[in-house]
Amino acid sequence: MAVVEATLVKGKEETRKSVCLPDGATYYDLLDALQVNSETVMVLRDGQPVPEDDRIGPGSIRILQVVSSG
Amino acid sequence: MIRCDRCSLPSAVHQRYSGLHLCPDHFTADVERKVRETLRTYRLFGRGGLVAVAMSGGKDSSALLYMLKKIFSPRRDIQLVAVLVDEGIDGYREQTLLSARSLADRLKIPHRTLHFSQEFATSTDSMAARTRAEAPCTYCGVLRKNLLNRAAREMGATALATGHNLDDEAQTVLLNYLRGDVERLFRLVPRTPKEGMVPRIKPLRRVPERELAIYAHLHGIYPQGHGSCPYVPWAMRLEIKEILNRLEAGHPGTKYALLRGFDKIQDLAGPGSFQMRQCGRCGEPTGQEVCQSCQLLERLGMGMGQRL
Repeated sequence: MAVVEATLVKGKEETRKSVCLPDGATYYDLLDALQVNSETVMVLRDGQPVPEDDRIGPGSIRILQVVSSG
Repeated sequence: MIRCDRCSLPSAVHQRYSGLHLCPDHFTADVERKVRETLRTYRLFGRGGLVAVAMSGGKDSSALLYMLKKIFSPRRDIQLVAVLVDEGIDGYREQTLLSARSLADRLKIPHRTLHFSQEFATSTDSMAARTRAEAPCTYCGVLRKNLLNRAAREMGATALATGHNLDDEAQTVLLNYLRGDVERLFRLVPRTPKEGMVPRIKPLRRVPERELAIYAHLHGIYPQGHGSCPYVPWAMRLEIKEILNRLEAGHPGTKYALLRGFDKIQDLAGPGSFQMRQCGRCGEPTGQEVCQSCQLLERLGMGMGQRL
């Protein structure tokens, strides 16, 4: 298990999140743990988009809400 | 690290509906291919002309302007003009208009801003303050469409391009099915030229909203620091948006399937018998005696503003 830190960004609002995930977890696993639908976000690692089925790598993770919802 | 399915570079995007992993360059090529193919289906650009691009300054219309510039730049016979609408939404619209103008300037595309205050002597803010019977998006949308068509026609545009993406289109199709509104459904893609109406084109209708955000981010045009519109969209559309995103996550390809199915029905239906005439009050094209904009303004107790 490892603690993964990520920042959720909704418009101007930023929230720091920290979740415990098994080793080898992917960004989809991270989104599931945060209860975020992958259809509505773009995941950036060190500012670059990543394929969500990739294993979580080192660096700062930002999850940008790109599809507005109510 | 997962590599691009088309080359060996690191992948940046996973498309669940196609199963593909794509690097930034191949992802860009994939999005632009869909836009080129969509543009071809309209069969409007054989002889060149002027394309009016409706711009809100959000990610979709920013990506639209950027891509149209890129796609049409080898065509000397095609010009672009960005058309911006200031509906009068205090604390929100100013910022998005700034973004839209700065992108147009950067791309060296002329732009023109139309104001509800000048054209209709009202604003979305003051209409929202007057009525709670209808969602602001209803009248804001009707008046914006009216204004965009009028401006595009007066400029002599061959087409009016809007930034509607796959998500928007799939939502509209499902929404109209669920409301049994077949007429409105078939008005989605007008196929016969109509007097006074500039053909509307939706070059992004096959690109998912999420991918437009990634595209805008990769090309440095993702609008920064915008809040969201203070008016909540029509509740049922929001519900449909959520349902579709849930379905798409569990069953990738759902949005495409919905749009494809609709396009097939559309082909089977043949040209409609929808007749256009001039609005008895303002003279704009409409299917009714009095156009929707005039009906709305009357319901809100406002006359058609003085046209400048």
